[in-house]
Amino acid sequence: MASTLLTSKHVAYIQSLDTKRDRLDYHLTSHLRLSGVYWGLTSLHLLNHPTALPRSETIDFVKSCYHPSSGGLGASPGHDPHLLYTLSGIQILATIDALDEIDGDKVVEYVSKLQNPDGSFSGDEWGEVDSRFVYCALSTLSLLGRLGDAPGVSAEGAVGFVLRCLNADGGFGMAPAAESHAGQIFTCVGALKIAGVFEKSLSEDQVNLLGDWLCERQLPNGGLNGRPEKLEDVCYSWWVLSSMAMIGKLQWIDREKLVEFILSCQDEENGGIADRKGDVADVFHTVFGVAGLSLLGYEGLKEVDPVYCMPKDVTDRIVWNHRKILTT
Amino acid sequence: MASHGISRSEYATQSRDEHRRAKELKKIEEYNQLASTVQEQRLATEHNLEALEGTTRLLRLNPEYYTIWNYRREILQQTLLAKHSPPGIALSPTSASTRTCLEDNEANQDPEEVATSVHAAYTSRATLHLKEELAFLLPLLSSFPKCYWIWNHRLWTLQRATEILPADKAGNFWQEELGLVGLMLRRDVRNFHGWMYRRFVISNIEFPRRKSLSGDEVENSSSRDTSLVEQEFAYTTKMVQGVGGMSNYSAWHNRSKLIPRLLSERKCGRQERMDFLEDELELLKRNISTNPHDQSLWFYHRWLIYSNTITPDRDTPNAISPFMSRGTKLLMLAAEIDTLQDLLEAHAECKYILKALVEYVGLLQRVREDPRDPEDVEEEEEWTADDEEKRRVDRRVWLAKLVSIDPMRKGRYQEILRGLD
Ligand SMILES: [Zn+2]
Repeated sequence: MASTLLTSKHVAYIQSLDTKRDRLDYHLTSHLRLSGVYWGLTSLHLLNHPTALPRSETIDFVKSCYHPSSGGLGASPGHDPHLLYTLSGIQILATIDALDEIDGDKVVEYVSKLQNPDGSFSGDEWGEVDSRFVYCALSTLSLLGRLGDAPGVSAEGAVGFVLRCLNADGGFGMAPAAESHAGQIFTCVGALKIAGVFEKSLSEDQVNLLGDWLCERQLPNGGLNGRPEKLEDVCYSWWVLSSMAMIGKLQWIDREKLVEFILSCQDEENGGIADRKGDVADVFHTVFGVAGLSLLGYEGLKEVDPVYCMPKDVTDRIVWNHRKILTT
Repeated sequence: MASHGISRSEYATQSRDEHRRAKELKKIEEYNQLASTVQEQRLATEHNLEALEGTTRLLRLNPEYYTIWNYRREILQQTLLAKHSPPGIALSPTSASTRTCLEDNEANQDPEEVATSVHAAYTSRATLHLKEELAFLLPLLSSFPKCYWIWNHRLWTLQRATEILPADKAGNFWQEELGLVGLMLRRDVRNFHGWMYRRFVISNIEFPRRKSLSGDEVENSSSRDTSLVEQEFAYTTKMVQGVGGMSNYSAWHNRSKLIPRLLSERKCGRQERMDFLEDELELLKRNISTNPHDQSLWFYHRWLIYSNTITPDRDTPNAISPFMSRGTKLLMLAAEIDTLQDLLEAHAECKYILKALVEYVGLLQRVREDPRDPEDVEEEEEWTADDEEKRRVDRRVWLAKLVSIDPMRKGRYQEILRGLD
């Protein structure tokens, strides 16, 4: 079992992803492709190999997913626009400093049209509502530097909706009254952080309850689960851990045991990280494993931003530094 | 690209098998052929039954292909669910016979009656096709219970029933759906989508014209005749009392969300609310003493204690008994702490008991600091500086014990310890 991070294997694994066209999975996952590129690119940046994917091809691919008529992005060329992929596309361009390659105003227009009167956001024109989409919307707008001045967007309304998803256990659900879930907690806490209202929205008691719920996700084998009485999974190394980082409670779990768990899920032969030890690796669990290790301060990794799941130097450049100037 | 629970060794064996590889390549070719045909039809905005059939086949192979669900809805709206079916659309036998009979009618009836029967024909045709659509989705949901897009499409289909059909017919759709959700939750009692979906189905039965999924537009206009809150509350009681139900976090969670509405619809007064809280605490006491290691029970217990002591919001009451006096709260907390201390004698290593003790003694201290209400009739026990010191020592002992039996979370306990100094 690997006791260190197999960086070069993971880099090679991510580079090889687009060459696996002889496998059915490759074709069955075209509805995720743009997010896949974001997962791969972010992994590479955190692994300190930022140029391992060709920049101009990456930009071309993002542009090929863009719908000029609506301003949204789909998962692959020919796939319909959706907030999930719009965010992935903007994250990619932000990371490689290429936001000027896309019509930001038009993207803002796409996002703003998806807000509902109750403050929530729909994922696309078909109307599915989920607290995740509030995160997608606010994250996209803030990366475009347009959170404060997006016509037709009510950040206050969005915050109000997120707070109605807050539960008595301190966690958040996908809609008001829905059970708390670690993935949802990441997006809701993240949305409140992006809107700059987290601190004034939750009381100390609520933050402690949330921290307690989150730290109870660590199981005896060191891994984290996403809800009580569920199995551990590497992707929760991100959803749970980033939430703990955002509320300043990372020290409430066992760092060493979690590091050990994530490392044990690496594919030592072909690279990549799986959901659990011995399973097939994929780029989704690879980025969340690597990002989790980065939050845990694992040596040799670039710092990740727990709010955005992007390299911290990128979000500092685009969002936070700018905000500091605004508030001081 | 984002897979769960697929064994690496099995996958590797499959990859080495020549025969399997050849089969996979053939599958890829077939899949891509079908996908590009359907995408081409979409680009050509073909809205006909042949295109619909293409989406059926493609979605069975890959229900995650969200764009194809969108296309399918576009086709359905233009064809089978269209008010005036375009010429050349071959409908199913039932609808075809309705149509013939309509044409006969048109010859010798007055226009108003014709309009009524045209509408009736449309209703029965739409009912049939909506049912077919739900039947298409059912096996997909069983095979892919975690696929968001299938759940979405199912909701969309039911919402079309609300939109197109008369209220009673639409109501039948939602009622049948409730039966189905019940079956799915019996199979997987924690299914996240299942519980979410159940709440949505219920609110559509209670408020038939509500359309968004955000759950927020539940108007307060709920009349008690259409409210299902009693039925749903009873459902959670049944769930938590079933085999293994005690550990069902989802059911306890739902119960906590239903109770405030339940009590306000029952128009419970102060005493009834107090009694209700006592019954819930009693239910928990029985369960916890059977299995003190079950975190779902502790979550619910904590909700009962917190919401009724320190966070009573009188405008949107989440508490069961929001009007308890300071003295009553102190009595309740003291009684719970006593019970837990007894339980600890039998389960000295149970971290949940220790955690609860640490928290509830902290709460007791905070409530004690609340200003005294002159009208408070509860006699307060004597409380001296010695008592306070003893409680502090107790908490230190419990926290030290927690650090040793639950070292993974020692950072949390040490933080509380530092706060006690
Ligand atoms: Zn996972």
